[in-house]
Amino acid sequence: MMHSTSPLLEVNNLRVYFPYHGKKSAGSQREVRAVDNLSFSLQQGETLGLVGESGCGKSTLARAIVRLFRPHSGEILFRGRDLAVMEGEPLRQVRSELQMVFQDPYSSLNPRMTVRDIVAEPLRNFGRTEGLVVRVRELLGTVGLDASAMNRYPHEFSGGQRQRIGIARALALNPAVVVADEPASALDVSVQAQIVTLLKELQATLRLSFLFISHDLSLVSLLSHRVAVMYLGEIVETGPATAIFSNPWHPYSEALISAIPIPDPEKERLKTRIVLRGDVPSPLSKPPGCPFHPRCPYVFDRCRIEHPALKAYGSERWVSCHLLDEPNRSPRPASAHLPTASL
Amino acid sequence: MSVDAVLSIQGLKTYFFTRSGIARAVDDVSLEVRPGETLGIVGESGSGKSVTFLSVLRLVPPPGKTVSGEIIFEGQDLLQMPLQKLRNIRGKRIGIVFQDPMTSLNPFLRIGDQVAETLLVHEKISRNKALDRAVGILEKVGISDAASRLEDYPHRFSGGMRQRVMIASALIANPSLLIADEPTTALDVTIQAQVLDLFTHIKSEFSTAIVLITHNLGIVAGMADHAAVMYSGRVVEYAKTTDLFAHPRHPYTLALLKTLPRPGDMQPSVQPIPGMPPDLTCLPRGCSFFDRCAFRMDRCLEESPPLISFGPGHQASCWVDIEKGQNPVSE
Repeated sequence: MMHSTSPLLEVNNLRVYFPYHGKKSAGSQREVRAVDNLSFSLQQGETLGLVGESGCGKSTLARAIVRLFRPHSGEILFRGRDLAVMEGEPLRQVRSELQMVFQDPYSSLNPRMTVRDIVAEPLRNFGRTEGLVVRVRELLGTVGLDASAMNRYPHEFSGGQRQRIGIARALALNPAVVVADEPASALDVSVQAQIVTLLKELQATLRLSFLFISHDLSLVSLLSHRVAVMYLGEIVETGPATAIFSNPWHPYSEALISAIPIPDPEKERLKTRIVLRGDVPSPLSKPPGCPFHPRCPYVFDRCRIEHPALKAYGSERWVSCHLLDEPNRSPRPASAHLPTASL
Repeated sequence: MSVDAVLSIQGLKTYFFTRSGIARAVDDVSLEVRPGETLGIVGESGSGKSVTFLSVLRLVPPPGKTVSGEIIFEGQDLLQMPLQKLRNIRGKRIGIVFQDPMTSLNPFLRIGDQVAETLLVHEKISRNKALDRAVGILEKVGISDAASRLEDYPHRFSGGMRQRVMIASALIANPSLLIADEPTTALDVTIQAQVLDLFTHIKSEFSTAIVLITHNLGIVAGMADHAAVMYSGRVVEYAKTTDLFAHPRHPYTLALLKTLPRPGDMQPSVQPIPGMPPDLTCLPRGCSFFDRCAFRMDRCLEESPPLISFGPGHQASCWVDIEKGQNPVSE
């Protein structure tokens, strides 16, 4: 929907709801709307960064895309086929092209399997056992590990090395899309940089598409071509990474970006940090109107009643905010050079 | 060592006596915190930043043990003091905020009682008066309508609010030193911004000296007056924060700064540090950063560099003057 060339992966109006059986309080829904009417697309060789805070639905979205959850409604089109309704063997076959790298390199590797077996497991599952050991050795080389790692167990490796093993496993079946859910969050800063650099190199050599999920905006800015900012299960702004980071249009993106501490004392002390009031509301009782309105510094009457649609501004920027339709209203996001809507 | 420091650590060594050998978690660390200043302690996991300040409070868990050093706080050596006397300092003169607000509050105690506990332990004060002061401090850290929330249990509070409660109970006895160990690491970005805002406010209102332990150089850049960089149990660089960022003198500090993306750069990029920190149970004879260093030379392999002065208030433990343009080692 956002590009003229047909995308590798296209998600349309996806909803993932979880039933809620607990105590009902006034105004709460019967389900947790973890992903709520969300659409995006991913081109071949592109990285889309998904950012947002805990509970915004980014991990649920990741898992729904590789069909670890069954969506409530909506489409997940991969090479034109809808994963959302696929089951059984066809789904299994498609999954070989959509692989995942998990957040925690300590719990996502089986401690009782050798590295050889961990990396070979997907190959065995799909019967690609010819030249297995050669392929495992090659994969380990690709992620910067020595072939001597093969006969060792996960506990013998550091966090960064384990994450490399997880990446090798994800690459084993030559996937087209790799969904990386916070792949560097459990690691130290110097090791984070190693993993991000590795992912960048892999993308360049293997023409991979990444869905890179992180709460750390500075990591996202390193890797992503485009960024989607999520809040309470919805995308509130999406567009080219450089454009969003230098000039966010949605007030939530603006606050999120201003909240990153900059490792430069002069800049960090001069900048005005936008401090949002309160916490993210529960996805069990989403506020009426714009989901961000209770924390928005620029809120006005319309936001409390009417849910803003995700609208296109130019060819690559989509924002859901009423402010952008009201050029005469002030105050407004300080940095926004306001666009004109084109629908 | 200057007399006016609130806290002065001299030659502190804390080792962990493990089955696989002696891990030198803190190895000859000397640091000073002056009244009212914020000292940032930066380092990666295992660099010894938390253990240093656990040693200050004598809270190092076994098999860890402080084997030597002096910790002078308000003129007294905390390491020589009887435990009974130290208890009058912990929580009263030195407040502590730990990383994880989810586990550092007692889930069975009401918020009001937890915050007031510090006062009840340290001062001759009635419970009602202590609760009154708890309301006052909770409001100062931004818990709105605090009086009505005293009866609540921690699970009713979000992560950011629990961290505010932790900060309130650390500040209630008006300590002269506040130790905050990764106070925002478990929090979301926008909540982190709220807590950092609160710390800025505390600095100006309470004139408490703060030790801010963090792996996030961005936070140090914004909050700290001085900063110490730790690596494998040692302070490898100490300077005024502005100097540290503008003129890093230790190759590790320089490399660490290059691993950080700066959002807003048009072409953001980072340079990872190759390799990983050494095993603390078998540290090399020479400099422990040798394997990963871009400026290493033969001398570094043999002799571990002491902290060398590179100008007023700026020290780094490196034989090389990296600003004089000695060539980085080519591999």
